[in-house]
Amino acid sequence: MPADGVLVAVIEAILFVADRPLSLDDLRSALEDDVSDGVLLQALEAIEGRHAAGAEDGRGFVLVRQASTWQFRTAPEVAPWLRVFTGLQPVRLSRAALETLAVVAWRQPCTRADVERVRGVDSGGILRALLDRRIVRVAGRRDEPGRPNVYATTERFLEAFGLGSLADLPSLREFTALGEEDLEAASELLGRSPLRGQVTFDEYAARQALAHLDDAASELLQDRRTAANPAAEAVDGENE
Amino acid sequence: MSASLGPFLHLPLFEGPLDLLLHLCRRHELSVAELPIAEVTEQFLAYLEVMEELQIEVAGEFVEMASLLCLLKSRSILPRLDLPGEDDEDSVEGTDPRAELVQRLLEYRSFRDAADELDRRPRFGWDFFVSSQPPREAAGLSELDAPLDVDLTDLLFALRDLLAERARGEPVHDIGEARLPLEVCMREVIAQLTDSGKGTVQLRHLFVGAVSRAAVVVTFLAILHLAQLGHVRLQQRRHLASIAVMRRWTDAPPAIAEGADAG
Repeated sequence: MPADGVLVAVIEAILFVADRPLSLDDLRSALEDDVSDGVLLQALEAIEGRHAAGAEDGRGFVLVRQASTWQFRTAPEVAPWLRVFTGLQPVRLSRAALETLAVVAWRQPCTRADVERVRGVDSGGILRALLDRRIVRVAGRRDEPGRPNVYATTERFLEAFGLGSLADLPSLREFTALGEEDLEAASELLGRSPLRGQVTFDEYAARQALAHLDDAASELLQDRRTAANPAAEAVDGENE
Repeated sequence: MSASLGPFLHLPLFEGPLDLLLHLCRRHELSVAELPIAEVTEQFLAYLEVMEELQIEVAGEFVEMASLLCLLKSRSILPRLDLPGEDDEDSVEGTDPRAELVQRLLEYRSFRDAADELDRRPRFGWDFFVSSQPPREAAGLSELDAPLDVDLTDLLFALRDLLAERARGEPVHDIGEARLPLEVCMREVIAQLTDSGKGTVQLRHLFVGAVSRAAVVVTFLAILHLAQLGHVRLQQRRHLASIAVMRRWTDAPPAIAEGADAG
């Protein structure tokens, strides 16, 4: 183990050159020593604190902590310039693709039938598209009639969503424990990511169409109730 | 009304009947767990009717759900008959005919929330970037790394990347059409592997001299041919990592005869 003063520097340097998020075990094997979790966490907190202010403090990158891994990433504020510089094409996914991917990610290995049972709609085309983009892979066949393929997520999936391992995914129960309003509030707060913030024409059109549909359905029901019970409607009218 | 919706008709408004049901619960503040079946059924049918009226394509799954809802509604309205024969069946199914549907809705909702969670995560290549240290195997593969053998898809992706890279590079002035025989390329690859001290060269490094699209393809074929002959091995340290070419001869490099490409 490096001397106390150098340990933080060594860990910072390892995180700096790492090509993926690192866990405590990764750091231990890199240090070639049985350093305790406590010592590592203390060092990581020191590094975290040093970069915490990010771009506001003139720092270009921050240490991001997930459920089980740590990674140096560029600060959110500098992203627009990095997009130009790197010319990377981020993975963009439709609602249907995200739903399908969520089932595969949390249920893996799972079959196409498993996905369709949850979503209630045909998902074959979307699974194929996810396979083509190498976000999911065929992880074998299940020993049941028809020997269906089972699907699992790939390294590219972890990379695209910045996950060190599948252990960094929150458990499904955490979602159900939250009420709908909590989730809405959370997505309001977290939903400022530019990739999401950009409302495409299609999304805008879909929202408009949905609003029209809601109105049309309400009108239809209202008309029908009035027709069935004109007296009740008249009383309502008098009350207003 | 249909006129205003005209251009939107191709849009999938709901990901499926479960999505529509959740939308209804949310909009009308109905509890999913207690699913008031009569109201939900009425609303669901109204939406289907409007969608049909507007010529929005209604998939078979919606119709199936509509009939399930009607069945559940009729069961909840009709008095239960305690016929001796049906008794067992009923108790197995449980007392509430809605239970299975509610279960499916809750499950679907938690996955939809999970999908939202994925969508909210900062995305690599858009929201954040990381240090692009060349992967560890650039320093040479050690025996202990136990690399994976490369599959065809990885190779094809590598070729596509190489060709794309070439297309982005500086334009090369093509002077005449020079024929590049396969065996010449094979000898070139062997020479590069012989020169490398470790006996391993990154796949992409073998293409440094290949300036034209044709040269990239022929070099690629040469590497595949050498692998087929058992002279080299193609390895990856982990999935999606870069591919390394490793020589398999120990003393003298293999000789490539003229016209080897014919074989």
